[in-house]
Amino acid sequence: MYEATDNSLMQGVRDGDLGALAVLFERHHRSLFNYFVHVNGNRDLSEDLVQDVYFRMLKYRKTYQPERSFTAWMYQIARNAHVDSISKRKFEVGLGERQFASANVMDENLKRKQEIGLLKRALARLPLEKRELLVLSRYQNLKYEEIAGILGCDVGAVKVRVYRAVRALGQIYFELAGEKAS
Amino acid sequence: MNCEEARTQFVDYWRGTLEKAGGEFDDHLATCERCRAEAQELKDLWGTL
Repeated sequence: MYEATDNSLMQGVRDGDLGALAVLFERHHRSLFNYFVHVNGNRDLSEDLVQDVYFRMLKYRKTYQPERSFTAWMYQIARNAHVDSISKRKFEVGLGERQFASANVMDENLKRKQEIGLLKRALARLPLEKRELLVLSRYQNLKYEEIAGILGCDVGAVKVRVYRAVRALGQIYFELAGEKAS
Repeated sequence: MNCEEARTQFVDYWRGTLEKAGGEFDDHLATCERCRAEAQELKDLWGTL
C-alpha cells in the first residue's frame, strides 16, 4: 500500500489538507519529544514544546517548501520553539544531578547506570549549541545533510562541529569521573 | 592524511559510516597514537550516549 511521504503530507497541509498534520504528528511527536527532553531535561516543558511545534507548522504552513527536507524544516521549527521557550521561562536543567547511592557490591549494571548518570550530567553542562548537535546526530540519528539543512551549513562543517561537541562532552565527562573517583 | 583531516572523519568512524575501510583514515590511525587513542576514547563515549 502506498504511504505518503512526509514531504507530500506537509505539502498537503500547506495546500489546505489540515488533516494530514495528524499523520505527521503520529509519525514524529515521539522523536520530537525525545529531542526536547534531551536538550532541556524537562518532560512537562517538552510536551508543551511538541504541541508548540505543531501549532507553528500549522501557522507557518504556507512557508513550507516541498523541495526541502520536511525533517530539517520540522527541527528548524523545534529549535526556534526551544530558543523562544528559554527567553520566556526560567530554564532549569533537570538532567542528571542526582546522586547515586554508594554500594559495596559494584555490579556491572550499577556501573553502567553510573556511567550513564555521569554522561547525563556532562550533557547537561554542555553549551546548548553543542548539546543540540549531539541530540540531532546521536539520539535523533539525523543524516548529515538534514542537520546541515537545519543549521544552515555544509556537511563538512556538521562533521567537524559534532566532533568538537563530542570532544567537549568528553572533557566534562572525564572531569566529572575524576571528581567522583577522588 | 594529517590529524586535522582525520578528525573530520571521527564522526563517521563512530557512526560506522566511513566510506571505505582500510583507507587513508585507517592508515592514519595505525600510525598516529594520539588520534587512535582519542578516536577510541570518544567512540566509547559516543556508544554510551
